[in-house]
Amino acid sequence: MRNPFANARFKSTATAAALALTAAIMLVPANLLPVLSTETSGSNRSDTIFSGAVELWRQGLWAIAAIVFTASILIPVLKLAGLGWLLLCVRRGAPLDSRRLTRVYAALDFIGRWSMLDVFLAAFLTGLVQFGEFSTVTPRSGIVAFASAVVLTVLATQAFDPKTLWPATQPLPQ
Amino acid sequence: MRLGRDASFVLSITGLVLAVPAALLPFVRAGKLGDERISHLFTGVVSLWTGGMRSLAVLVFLCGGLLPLALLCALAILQAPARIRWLTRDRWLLRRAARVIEHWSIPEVQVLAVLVALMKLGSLVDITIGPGFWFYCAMAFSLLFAQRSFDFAPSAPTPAPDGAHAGNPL
Repeated sequence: MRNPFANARFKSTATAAALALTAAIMLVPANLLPVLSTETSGSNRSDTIFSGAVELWRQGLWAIAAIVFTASILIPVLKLAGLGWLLLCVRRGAPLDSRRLTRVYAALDFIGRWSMLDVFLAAFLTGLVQFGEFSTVTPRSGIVAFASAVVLTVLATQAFDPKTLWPATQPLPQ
Repeated sequence: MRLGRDASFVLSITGLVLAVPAALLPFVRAGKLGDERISHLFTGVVSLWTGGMRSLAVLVFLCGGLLPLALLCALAILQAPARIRWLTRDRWLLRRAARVIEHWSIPEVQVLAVLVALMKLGSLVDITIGPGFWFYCAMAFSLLFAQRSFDFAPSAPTPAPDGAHAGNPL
């Protein structure tokens, strides 16, 4: 523990790991609970994130379905898995391919924002589709779980310090 | 594409100006069986708030409205011409704030969400896109380009504001 960065290193990874773990737990209700319920002329249906994307696919809106699937299911999972991998790499302390891992971190940081798509979608639909008995969209509890998972993931990424991917003696890349 | 400091400054100001009609003009008009509903930028936030999902309303309001605006302000101040002395004096706090806000200001995601929603609703209701949405799009892209040319993590300390500022490091 003579490494002067050891303490900072531990603090940053511990916070990030805790946040990432919480986000992973929140992803479970986010994917199981319904996020939106749509009422159209008497018929009522509740959609989870996955069934919403499937419904778009069934309507023939393949590109849109792919966007929703990527933003709401693929990115949260990929991002948490990637962050977990980075944390394990730092934890193991073996010589790291620092340059490549930093690029992975930058990529994770960039894609994270797009998973907010479903939250904005729910907000917009709730505001617009209020036609009394003909058509009404109501947000359900799943969207809150999903939003908290996304927020926690972003916080975890911010808590993670990419400097920990570099050996303490080596100057940081400019 | 990396723009110069002045272009970035002008884009931030442009974004701030565009934000006004984006918030005030109708976003989307939807009609169903003679019933028409006009939605504004914050209609969704208001319905979430009154519907009891307050945390979500706050999140959407921050990420799609307030923080992009704050970031535009911060970028405009941080890249203001060095001649304006009182603006360029002590900005490390603002610079740090901008760095945090940058992660949470995501108007471009909201633009995509609105487009997805419109495609989704196409079969259900009659949709007309209002001018507010286009202003919001323009605002989002101004911010995106202004942001790209700004270095949020300068490797060197900020140069003294004596006019010898040669753009951003990197």
